[in-house]
Amino acid sequence: MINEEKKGNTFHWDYITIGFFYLAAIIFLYQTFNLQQMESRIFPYIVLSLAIILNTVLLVKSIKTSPDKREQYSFEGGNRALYITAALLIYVIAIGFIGFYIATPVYLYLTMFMLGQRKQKVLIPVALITTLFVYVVFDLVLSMPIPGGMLF
Amino acid sequence: MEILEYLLMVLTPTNLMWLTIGSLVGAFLGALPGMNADTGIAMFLPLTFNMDPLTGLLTLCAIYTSASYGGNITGVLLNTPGTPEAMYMAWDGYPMTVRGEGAKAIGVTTIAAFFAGVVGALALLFLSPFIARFALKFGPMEMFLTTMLGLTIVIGLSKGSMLKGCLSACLGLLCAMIGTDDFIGVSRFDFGLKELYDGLPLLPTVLGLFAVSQLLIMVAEKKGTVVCKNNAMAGSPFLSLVEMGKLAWVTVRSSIIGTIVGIIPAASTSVAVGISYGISKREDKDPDSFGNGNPKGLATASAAHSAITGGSLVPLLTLAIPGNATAALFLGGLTIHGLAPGTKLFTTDGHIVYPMMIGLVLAQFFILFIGLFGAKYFCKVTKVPTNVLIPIVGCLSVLGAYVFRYQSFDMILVLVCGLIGYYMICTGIPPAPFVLAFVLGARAETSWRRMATLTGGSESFLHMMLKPVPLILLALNLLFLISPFWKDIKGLFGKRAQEVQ
Repeated sequence: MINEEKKGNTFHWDYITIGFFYLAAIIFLYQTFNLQQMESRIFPYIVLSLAIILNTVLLVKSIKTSPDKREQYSFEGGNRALYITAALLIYVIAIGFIGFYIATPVYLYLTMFMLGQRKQKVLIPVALITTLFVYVVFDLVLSMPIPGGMLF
Repeated sequence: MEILEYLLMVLTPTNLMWLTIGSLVGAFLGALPGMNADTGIAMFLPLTFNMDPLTGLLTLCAIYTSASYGGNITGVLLNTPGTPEAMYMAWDGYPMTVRGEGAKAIGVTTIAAFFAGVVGALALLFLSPFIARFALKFGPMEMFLTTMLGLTIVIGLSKGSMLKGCLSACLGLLCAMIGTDDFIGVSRFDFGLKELYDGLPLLPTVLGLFAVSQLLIMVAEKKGTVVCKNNAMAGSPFLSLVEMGKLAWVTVRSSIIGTIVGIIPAASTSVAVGISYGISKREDKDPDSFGNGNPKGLATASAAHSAITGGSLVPLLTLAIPGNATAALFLGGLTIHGLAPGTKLFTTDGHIVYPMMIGLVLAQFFILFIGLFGAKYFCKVTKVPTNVLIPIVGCLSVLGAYVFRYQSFDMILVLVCGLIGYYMICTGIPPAPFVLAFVLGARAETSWRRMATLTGGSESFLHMMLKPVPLILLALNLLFLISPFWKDIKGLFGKRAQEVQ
C-alpha cells in the first residue's frame, strides 16, 4: 500500500497520524488528571509523556523531510474499503432489528453482488449455506447464542 | 508414563476432530493469498471460547501449524505465496514446478516442514518446564524488565518505522489501561461506557486489527483469483529413501536453527531462513543451483520456517513474551481460558499445557497428510473468488466479536478496529507492537506498581536493580532498542574519529 513518490505533494498522511496521536494523548491526559488516586495516574503519565515526546520527534522529522524524499502512502481503493465497512455497519444494525438468521443471507447476497459477483448459482447457495454453517457450528455444536433482533 | 497419559488426553474423538478441522482450516487460510495464521487464529478464538481449554488450544495449535505450512503449497505450485513467509519456499519450489517436478517439490517441502515442526514442538515440550522454573525466581523488577523486553524487541525490529512502532506500542499500552484499575478498583479511561468497565475486550480488538483490516485491504487491492495449472502436481509427492537421505542433513540443521531462532522473541522467519539458506548454499557442491530449483534449498527454507512455530511458543508459555504477533494472539487464547504463562502453567495447569504441547507434535502429522494427499486440492482454493470470500470473512468476524461477551457493542468495536488497522497498514504503522503492548500492558503496569511498592526509595530500587538477572535484562532491552541503529552509530563515531585526526 506504499506508493512511489509523488513529487510536489506537500500533504502527507503522517500529519494526520501525528494529529491523531496528539488528540488521543490529550484525551487520555484529561482523563488521567481527573483520576482521584495518584498511584493510578503514574503509569499513564509515563506512557503519555513518552507518546507525546515520540510524536513530537515524528512531527519534527516529517517537517524536516523534503516532500520528494518522503514515503508516499496510497489509499487507492480506499473508497471500496469504506463501502464494505458501511455494508458491515448496516449489517450489524440490521441484526439488532431482524436478527442474525435473516440479516446474514441478505447481507451476504448484497455484498457479494456489490463486489461484482453476478452468478445466481453462486450468490444464493453461498448466502444460504454460510448461514446454515453458522447455525450448525455455533448454535448446535458449540451452543453459543446467536444475536437475535427486536423483531426475530 | 505421564506422557502416555497426556497423549491419551489428546487422542479423544473431540480433540482429534478439532485438530482435523483446525488443520484443514489453517491450510485453507494459509494457501489463500491475503490470509494467514494471524487471521485464522483471530477468527477461531471466539469459537474456542465455549470449548474445553485443551480442545480450544489444540485447535489453535493446529491452525497455527497448518496455516504456516499452507502458504508453502501455493508458493511452490503457483509462485503466489499464501503467506509472506512462504516466498522463501517459492525460490526453489516454483522452479521445480516449472520443470515438471511440482509433486516432488510438494513432497520435499512437506516432509521438511513435518520434521522441523516435530523438532520445534519437542523443543517446546522439553525446554519450557526448565525455563519456567527459572522464571519462578523472577521478582517484580525482573517481570517488568522481561515484559519490556518483549516490547523493545518488537519495536527495535521495526527499524524502518521504529518511531511509529514505538507510538503503536504506546497506543497499545494506553488501550491496555482502559477499564478498572486492578490494584484499587478505580475505573479509568472508560469514557462513561459500561461496556468498557472491564477493559477493551481482547477478541474484538484483535479480530478487527487482523481479520477485518485484512479483508479491507483485499477489497481495496481488488485481489482476484489465481488459477492452478492442471499439470502443476504431475507425478508423486512421495520421496524415495535415497532422495530423503540427500536432504536429511540440511533438514536437521535447518530445524535446529529455526527452533533456536524461534525461541528468541520477535526474531523473524527471514532470520531463520537467511541463516540456514546461507549455510546450506555455501556448503553445497553447486551453490549456483540454489534459487533455481535445488531441492536442498527448498528443504532448508521449509524446515527453518516450520521449526519457528514450536520455538516461538517457548518464550510465550514460560515468560509471557510472545515470539511474534501470532504467538501474541495465542496468548489471547490462553487468557480466554483462564491460563497465565509462567510456572503455574506447568504445575497447576500442567494437565492442559502438556497435552497441548503433545498435540502440537501430532498436528505435524496432519501437515504430512495434507501435503502428501491433499496438496492438489488445496492448490485449487485460490479459485475461490474474493467477492465470495470477503463477505463471509466479514460475517464471521462480526459474529466472532459478538460471541466473546454477547454484546452488540463488540460488533461495532470490531469494525472500528478494522478501520484503524487498515489505516495503520496503509500508513506504515506496524500493528504488531500495538497488539503486543495491548496484551502485555496490564502485566507491565502490575509489575511496575509492585516494584514501586516494594522499593519505596532509591536505595532499595538500586538494591533490586543491581543483581545479575535485572542487569542482563536491562542490557538486553537497551541492546534491542539500539541495535537497529548500530551501524549508524558506528558510522557517526567513525566520522568523528576521522575529523579529529
